[in-house]
Amino acid sequence: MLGKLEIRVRSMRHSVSGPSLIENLELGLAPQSVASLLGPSGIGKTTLLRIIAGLERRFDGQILLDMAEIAKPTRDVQLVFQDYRLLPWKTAYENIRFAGRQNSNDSHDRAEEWLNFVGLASRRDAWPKTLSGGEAGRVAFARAFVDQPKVLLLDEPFSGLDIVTKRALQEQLLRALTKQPATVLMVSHSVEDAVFMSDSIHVLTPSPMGIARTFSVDLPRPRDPASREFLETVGEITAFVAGDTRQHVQGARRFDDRARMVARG
Amino acid sequence: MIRVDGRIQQRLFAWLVPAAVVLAWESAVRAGMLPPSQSAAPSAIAVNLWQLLVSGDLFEHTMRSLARLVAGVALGSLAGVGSSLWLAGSRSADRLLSPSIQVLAGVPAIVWMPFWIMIWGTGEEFKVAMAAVTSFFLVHVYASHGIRSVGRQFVELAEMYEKTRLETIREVLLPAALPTILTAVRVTLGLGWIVIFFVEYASAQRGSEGLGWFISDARGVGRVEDEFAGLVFLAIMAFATDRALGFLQRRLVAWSDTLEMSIVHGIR
Repeated sequence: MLGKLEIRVRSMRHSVSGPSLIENLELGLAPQSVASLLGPSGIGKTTLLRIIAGLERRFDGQILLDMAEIAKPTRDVQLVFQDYRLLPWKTAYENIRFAGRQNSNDSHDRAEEWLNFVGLASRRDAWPKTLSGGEAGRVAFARAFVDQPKVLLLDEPFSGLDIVTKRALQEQLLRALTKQPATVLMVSHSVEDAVFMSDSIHVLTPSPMGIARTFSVDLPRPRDPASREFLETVGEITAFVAGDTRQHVQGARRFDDRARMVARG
Repeated sequence: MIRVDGRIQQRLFAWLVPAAVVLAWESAVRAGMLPPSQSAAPSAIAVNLWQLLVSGDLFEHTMRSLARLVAGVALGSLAGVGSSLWLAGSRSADRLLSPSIQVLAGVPAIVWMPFWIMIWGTGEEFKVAMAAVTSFFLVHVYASHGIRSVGRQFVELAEMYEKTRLETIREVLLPAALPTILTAVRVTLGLGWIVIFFVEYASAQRGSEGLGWFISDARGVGRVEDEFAGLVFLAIMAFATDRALGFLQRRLVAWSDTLEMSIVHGIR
């Protein structure tokens, strides 16, 4: 089982004449590593995940998984959506089973196994409308893992959760990765979450989106968010992000001024 | 003072208007305010209804009507769901047929009568076809709306798990559209009773029986109490079938969290 992911997006626009959302973004992920994309809301992080998952085809570039191009959605690449996207008409168990292959004999066993692993055996037949945010997240993770994907894409999976639920979900995800390794790319706007989870953190620039800097996180696991090293790493990345954002806000203003001058002729 | 549970109180409250109407009606008949050849007192209708039920006469007619209704609504609904799925999946079929269906859906069901009589005469097929056509257009329109309103996100999910077209229809599109489809079937069941009553009432042939025919026959020979008993029982049956489908709806879409389902569940 490999999972080497190579992302090359030369350009991505929502419309032919519109501005470029992503430009010259190149990123390589080693098999079974955990990487985070860090950047403010609305710069195109989710769009990038959709491109990698094969759900967005309007882009110029190439996504390679173990040297083979991803041109359409595949079971090898699973995206956990920010809203978890559980099917409301399926119970917790059925949602996990949905990810399995219909004709596979062991898909029932695997769904039960992952339901137990995420600690939701007692909520097996619960409708999604009755699940808490943390429970829904656990079902979404179990569903993503059940078919043994090579790559797991996580779109801000911890946003909107309280700190206790969030930390429990993060620890459960890391345990799941020990049980069944996969290459993980997580989108986040929380430096702390990114440092807690990742081996590498890629700070993104807005308009058009690109990589400003990559940080390697070498802290030992399990990570202690209260430790000095952890806090120093968070501080270092936060300082860079804050500085970089300021530069880009100024840059964007200059760009807007130029655009206004061109428009006035 | 006796305290009555809130829910019972509300149910009793709903009986106030019918009770007042029955009382006024009974008094008017007894006081001779209504022509005796054209009216019957509610008490006499109730006694007559009981006798008709015990003798099994009314039961037989009701079963005939019910069978026509269920066959018509089932056929029409299945065709409506099938056609809406087909048009949702085929752009060319959609362009070819949707405008015609939309135009025809606006035509009152009764207007179809001469057309079906031309094809099938006034036999059993005609009656079922009338109910089926009424159901078809309504269920098609509702189901099309339900299927087209399924969030793109759920279809994407099916793509991600490499579901086949059939699996996507079975596991995503149909369940997502089910609340809308069931609402349409429930509405169509009520309309179906009206259509079935009308075609049975209009067909004077013996042997074609049914509640509508029973009422029409009773009117023809001046059995006013039978006529009213038939009407009351028709209303009871329409109410009962609606409630039965409502029960099924609650069971089948218990997962739904919409305002519509809250209304079906009867939140206060």
